[in-house]
Amino acid sequence: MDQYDCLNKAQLSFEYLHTNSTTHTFLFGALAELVDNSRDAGARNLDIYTSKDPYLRGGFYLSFLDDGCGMNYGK
Amino acid sequence: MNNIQNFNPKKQNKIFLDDVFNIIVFGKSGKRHSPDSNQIGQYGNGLKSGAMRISNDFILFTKKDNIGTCLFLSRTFHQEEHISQIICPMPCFDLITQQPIDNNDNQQINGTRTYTYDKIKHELEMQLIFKYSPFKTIEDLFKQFNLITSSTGTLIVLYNVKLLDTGDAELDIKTDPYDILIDSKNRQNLFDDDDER
Repeated sequence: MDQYDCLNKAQLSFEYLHTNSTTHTFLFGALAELVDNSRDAGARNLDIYTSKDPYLRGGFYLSFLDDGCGMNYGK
Repeated sequence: MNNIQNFNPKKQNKIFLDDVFNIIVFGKSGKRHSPDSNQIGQYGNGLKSGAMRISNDFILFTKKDNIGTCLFLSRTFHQEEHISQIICPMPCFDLITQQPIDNNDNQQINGTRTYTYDKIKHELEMQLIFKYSPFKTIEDLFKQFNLITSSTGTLIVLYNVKLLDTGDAELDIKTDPYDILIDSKNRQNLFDDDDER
């Protein structure tokens, strides 16, 4: 790979975060992605709840709390 | 709000792990490489595409081996500071002593606990989290870690949710206090869904 250091590499732009999210037209499909992740982590419990916070757009935050395998930092 | 008991439908022989770092490598998933995998995720894209569909920002807390790792991905931060690349603070803590851990030093993560973490990097990460997340102090942050009462687990907090043209949140949490609904005017979406991953 070192031999190619001088060549251009593709990058992710900030705008891609939005672009990528448009694969979900259906909002609950997006929530299901997070449920899938908890299931794949071997979770036996998943709490999905909201907490009010007037400083946030929409006035609340949405949490997914599972008891799955968790993660290390990695790399 | 919704507690799904006995959530895991099949007994899994092995759980194939992903590291937090892999989350920010788009398209990389540790799940895919398992031969007898019955995992749903394969493509290493679900968290990003899903979370960014729901809200502008998220912060993830994960716990394992008494080490807590945060992952912070905020579009609000990028927009306000006009940043074109994607920056993801990922501070790491010993959850017993609440000390920061250098997340690039595997020796420490494996028990040598000498805490020679990169102070400048860590403080910059914390400064961004306190500024752009709903959690404004280190105590707030550890409160979130403490919600993970099992020995391992993950908490994702999504905030600055998408709004409808009416100015209301797209997720309706007001109509039914025990459920999360999609606004009935948009209920048609349920029937002409053309989701793909």
